[in-house]
Amino acid sequence: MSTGTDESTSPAGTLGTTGTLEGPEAFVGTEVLVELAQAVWASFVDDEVPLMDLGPWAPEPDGTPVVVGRVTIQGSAAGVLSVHLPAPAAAEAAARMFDIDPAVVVPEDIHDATGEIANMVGGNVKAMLPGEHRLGLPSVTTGADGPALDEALASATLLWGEHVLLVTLDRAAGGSPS
Amino acid sequence: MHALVVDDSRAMRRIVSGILSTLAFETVEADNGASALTELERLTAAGTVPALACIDWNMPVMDGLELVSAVRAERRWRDITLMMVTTESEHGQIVRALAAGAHEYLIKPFTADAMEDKLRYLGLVPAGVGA
Repeated sequence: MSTGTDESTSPAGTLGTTGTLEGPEAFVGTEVLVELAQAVWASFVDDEVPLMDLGPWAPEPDGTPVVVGRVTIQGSAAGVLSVHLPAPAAAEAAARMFDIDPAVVVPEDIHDATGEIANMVGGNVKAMLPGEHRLGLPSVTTGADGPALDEALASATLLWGEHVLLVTLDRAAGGSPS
Repeated sequence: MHALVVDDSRAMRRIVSGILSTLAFETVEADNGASALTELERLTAAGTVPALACIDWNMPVMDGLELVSAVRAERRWRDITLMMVTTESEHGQIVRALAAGAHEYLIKPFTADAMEDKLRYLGLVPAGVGA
């Protein structure tokens, strides 16, 4: 996709207007992550309570398990897009996405919903990168810790009702120049 | 009416099938282009060729663009309306899909209303059904 600049791509990275190799954060910043996450959320999860941008703030871990959906973006400006949902939020999102009773949500529903949210945000991030990129298959894990936001290339902290969600864009495994 | 929903994401198949069911479609699902062709053969043999196929672009084994081309190459499937449902939003990709034979293009994320509007425009939603 043309960005209206003279960027070009190389096997090692995307060449930006400054002549330096650039990673995905050069094209997709926090503001864009917020907008994409809000659009996906409003379309498939909750069109009544929007995701509210909390700005550059990271919640302290409180022991609540976190469900993480990840998708890799492969190409010259490679990266990993992750969506971090506290487990109760992931379950509620799955119930809303599939229009089912929250009481009957099973882990498979949570896995599918979280993976699809990451897939759609990642797919829209990919569409904003110059040159040819491919999206990997989404993966979903559950862990105790939130992400290290200071290591992310870009991140968004979002409030949904009483839940704090995070969306991060990280360096691809193996390192992408930025 | 029958509809074929083709997406490698089980979640997206559930979502699209859910929307279509509210619009009086009976849906069959496939997780890639190759399995979609198998389902089309089965449905054709049963005399229930779908009126609509909603097709994702990026799928393993056979992608959506290949599927559109394969369906368009078969005269017996020429009446199936093909709608791409994908995150591929670049103008060039849309043109490629339409040139291959897709009738409509819906970019993810989309709303149920947006899908209904497209299908209504295509004449695939009976009067009195839906919103």
